[in-house]
Amino acid sequence: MIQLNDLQFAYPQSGFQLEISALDIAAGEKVAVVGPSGSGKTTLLNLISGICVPDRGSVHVHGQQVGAMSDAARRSFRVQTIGSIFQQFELVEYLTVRENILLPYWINRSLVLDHAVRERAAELAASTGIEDKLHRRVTRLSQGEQQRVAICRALLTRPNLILADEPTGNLDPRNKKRILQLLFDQCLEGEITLVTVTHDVNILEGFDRTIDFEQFRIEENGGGP
Amino acid sequence: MRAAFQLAWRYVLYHRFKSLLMVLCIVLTLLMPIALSILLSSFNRQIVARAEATPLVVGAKGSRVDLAMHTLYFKTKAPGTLPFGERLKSTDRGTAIPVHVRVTARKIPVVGTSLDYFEFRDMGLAQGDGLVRLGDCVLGSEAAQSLGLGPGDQLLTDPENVFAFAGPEPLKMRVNGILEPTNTPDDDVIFVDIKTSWVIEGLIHGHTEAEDLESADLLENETDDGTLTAAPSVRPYLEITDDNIGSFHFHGSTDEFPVTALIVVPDDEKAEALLLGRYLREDATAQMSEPIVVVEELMSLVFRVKRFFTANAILISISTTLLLMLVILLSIRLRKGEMETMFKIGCGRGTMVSLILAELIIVSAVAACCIALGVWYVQFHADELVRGWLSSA
Repeated sequence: MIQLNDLQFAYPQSGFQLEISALDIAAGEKVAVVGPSGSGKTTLLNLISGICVPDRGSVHVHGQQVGAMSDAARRSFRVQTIGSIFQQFELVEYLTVRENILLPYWINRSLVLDHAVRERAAELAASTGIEDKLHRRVTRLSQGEQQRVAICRALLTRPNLILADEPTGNLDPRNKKRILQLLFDQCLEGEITLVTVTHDVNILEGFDRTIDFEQFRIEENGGGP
Repeated sequence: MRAAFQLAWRYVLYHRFKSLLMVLCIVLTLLMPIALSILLSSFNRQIVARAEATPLVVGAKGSRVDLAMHTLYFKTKAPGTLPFGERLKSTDRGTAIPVHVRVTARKIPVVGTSLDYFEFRDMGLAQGDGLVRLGDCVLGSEAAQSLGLGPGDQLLTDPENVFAFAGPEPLKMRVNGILEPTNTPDDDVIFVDIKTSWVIEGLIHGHTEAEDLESADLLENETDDGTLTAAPSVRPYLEITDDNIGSFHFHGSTDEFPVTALIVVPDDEKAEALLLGRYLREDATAQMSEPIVVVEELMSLVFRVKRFFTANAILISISTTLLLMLVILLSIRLRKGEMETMFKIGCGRGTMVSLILAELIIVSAVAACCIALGVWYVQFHADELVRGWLSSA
């Protein structure tokens, strides 16, 4: 599913450099990436999703070399293949829950928003327990509910891969467990590969594999992304 | 693009206060000069039309503008008065119509004139009769509406000064008719016969005949030839009725009675030139002017001022545009997080630009609608607004 070979990436201004000789993640695998702040965990997600392009080496996702694609192709690839979940949920405050879930279809010309998509949005909301809040503005939801909306948004396009950047970082322990279980259930149901960056060693239990990210990082001038 | 508009619409609604401020900025910046231009154009049209319809005016020496505005709009104070007999200097070459505006009734000017005025202005009656008897008045359509009076009602003139106990007392006038609307300042005034206006000023008066007084206390003196003289305590009539109209009289000649202006309608162009020439003499005690000339001079000044306003409006428009650009740039900066999220979930830069453009289009469209509404309103009511302003000025 994901293959990283002889990868090197640097943020020129900060002096941060990431090197990964080889990393394979199998389809349907649930992987947790841990490591200290600034070790390059988020950069890894950005390289996999094509937001960043490696200086050297290759990133293959689903057999396609992400770095070799044009900007538009990478964006299209990201829309079709990857669902993203963020620590701060990154919901659009002026939209309702339903509109936030449907957002990828509103902002991508390659996606067609039809009745089936709307039904799927409703189904996802029901499966995550927020079906009664679809017409509520997201700012009126609790943090746990907001993260559920973010998960629904990430799953709507039926991605093969979910990249979650500290999805439980802002949640209380009870909500952490619930959200993770929800993610695992959805990934299991849709045979989705899950790569989750986390600081929290207490949540690693449900993952198939944990990658300690310290080993990939070479720090030159201190600081990181 | 449809989705961009949907998103932008929701953003605009969510940030309605900010959006409203932007709309307001655009509306005020653009509507004010447009509205000013419309109003000025209407003002010019109305004032020129009124001036063109009034060939010549005669008045006391002084400000030509005051004289013209007084004669045309009855509001501005006349530079002074001139004797009614001044009309005789013009009657050989035209018609002289007196205009005497010195008193008000419930704050509305009372215009003393002759029946020629109604013929000259082509004014007809909507209700009742014209000026039949001394003490009658006819109301302009707007004046009638604001006073809530009709034929048969009575109207008291305002005292000249509440502390002038020795001055003439208010006269109770009989409302005899209401004039048809003309959409001119004539709608906003009360018309009386010139003699009635002199009655109001106390120059013509009526009181109980001294012979009829019952109490000897009311008699001040009895001369050797048996003439009875009334004491000051003999009260003048404050209302003219069929019973007392015969007692109204004046002392001296009406030719010496004052009028604030005369409208002169010359028989032809030659007569006009000759009449104007008469008042060019150094020994002329009054002035004659062509209202259209005065108004054109006034309007040229107004348009010169307008040019300044136009330049000012352009500068304000530029500064508002720059300010709006700054607001948009700051707004984009504030929405950096939202933009990054959209980018991460696959939004292209083109879509992001179209999102911002859509917001601008929505705000501009709302502003354009408000401006269009404002322009329509101003255009629709311009004549009325300007007439109201001219009448109240």
